[in-house]
Amino acid sequence: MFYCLAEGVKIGETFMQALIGLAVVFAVLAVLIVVLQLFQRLFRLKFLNKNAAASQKSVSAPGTAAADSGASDELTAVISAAIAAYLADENADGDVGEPPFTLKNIR
Amino acid sequence: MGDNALLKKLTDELKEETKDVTALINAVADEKSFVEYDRFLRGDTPLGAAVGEGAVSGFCSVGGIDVGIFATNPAVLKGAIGKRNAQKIVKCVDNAVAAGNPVIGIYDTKGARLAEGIGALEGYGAVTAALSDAYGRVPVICVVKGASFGLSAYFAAVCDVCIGFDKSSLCTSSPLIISAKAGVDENKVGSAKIHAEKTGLYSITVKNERELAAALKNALNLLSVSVEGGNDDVNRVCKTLKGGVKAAALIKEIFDTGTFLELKPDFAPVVITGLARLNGIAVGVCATDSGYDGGRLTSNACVKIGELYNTCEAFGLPIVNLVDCAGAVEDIAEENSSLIREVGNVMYLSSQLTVGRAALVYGKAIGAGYTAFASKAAADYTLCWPDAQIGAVDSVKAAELLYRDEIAKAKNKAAALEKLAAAYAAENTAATAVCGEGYIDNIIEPQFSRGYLAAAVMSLAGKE
Repeated sequence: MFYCLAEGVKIGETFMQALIGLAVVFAVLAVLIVVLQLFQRLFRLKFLNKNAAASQKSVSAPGTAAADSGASDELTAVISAAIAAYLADENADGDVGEPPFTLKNIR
Repeated sequence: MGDNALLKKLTDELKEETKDVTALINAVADEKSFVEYDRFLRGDTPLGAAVGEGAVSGFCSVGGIDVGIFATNPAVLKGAIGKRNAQKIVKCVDNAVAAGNPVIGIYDTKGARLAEGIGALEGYGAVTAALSDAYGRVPVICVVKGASFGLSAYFAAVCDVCIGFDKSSLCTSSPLIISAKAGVDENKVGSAKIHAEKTGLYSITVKNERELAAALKNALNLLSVSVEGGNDDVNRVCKTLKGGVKAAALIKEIFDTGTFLELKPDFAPVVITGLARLNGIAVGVCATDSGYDGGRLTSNACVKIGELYNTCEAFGLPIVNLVDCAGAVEDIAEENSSLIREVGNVMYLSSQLTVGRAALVYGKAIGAGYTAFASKAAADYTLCWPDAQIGAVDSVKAAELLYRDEIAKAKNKAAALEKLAAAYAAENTAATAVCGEGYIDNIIEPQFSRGYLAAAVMSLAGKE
């Protein structure tokens, strides 16, 4: 039987506790990474490419900006559907917009 | 008998013998505007005196438009045509053409004066030549009042608008003879219903003189007055228009309110033709209606369209084509008949027209439906609605041909066909795809169709 310098503590138990401690630390780190990634997805934050994205934003077309910002296809579809529904409601209310030009009536 | 007494006798006789025909002419003419030619012309025949030679002719105004007008008189020798009354008719027609005035012919005649023999046929020839000379130069309107038998029936084919009374009869021989030969009821030969629905000779059917007067005024106005101010706002937004609308409803919304005069409504109803005003400009209207077999062209429909195009070309009326047409009809009887010739004729005419041509694709324009009405060869300006389908072949048919194996392998064949057809449509027949190729000038919202078409017609009205 081996004993360490600390009185009454066996060497094998010390190793086990060290291993469990390391495992717990790495597990917590892994959970933190997952949580941070979830936050990243949730809030559309781009920690690593923040500066690069900001510089591109000013020169890209509106249509491409949405794609570059990481918006998913689902989100685009949802927004399109919402706009379509809004326009449909607008038309249903009888507001059909203005004609694109005005002609002179022949009297 | 002194001159005055003789004149009174002849005048009384004339009044008595011509009262019905004169009353009819006065019913359609503007008040006290009718002036008669050759009033005292009189012939002696083996059957008795031909007062006024069995025809009344002259000039008058109808709805403010000067016209030459003649009518055969059934009270005198059954209105039969002979050499001398033919000369009376020819004089009326020639004078109207020389003055650039429309011609109205009213027929109620049992045929030729057989006693005159070849002379009567010469009379027919002279009238036919005069009407043919007038046709295309001035508006020619034919009215079938009662019976029009024998060679005079052919006069109904040499006109821009043929108006028939609902009790009239138009036949190349006596309906009695033809019906007896065929063993059918007399009313099934040459009736107004037959000519409105089957032969398409009648452009308009009327019940009485009041309706006749209204139809004549409307037709003459649209054919003779190219621009006339109205009260309908050209910028009116047509809020009710959307995909799937019927042709009749579309016409009602787009053109100036109350101006559309439909021609041959019961003949080949797959296409609606007529005359109307758009911002006051008189136009020809041709609308295919997918409610009838997908708007597919039949030979009769093409005859109807061809007649409209000819009239519009003759009188400088721009043409508006409203297109929802899946091509030509797929029918063995049509295929083995005159379909190819008639569709080809419409394509020929549409490409040769010198008047302005505007087209709106409000549904499908597939195959001949596109080429004949909306292609660059057939239209000077073409519009379409966002959900229009334009292409060589229907998307479902295209999917069936192109993806035959894929559909055959699919578990749910109907769903696979639908999906593949939708994919084909998006890539090939969708409005955006076609406009991207430059074949259509503009994709417009349905509610602005009136304004866009009016703008097109205004810009094309002076086209030469």
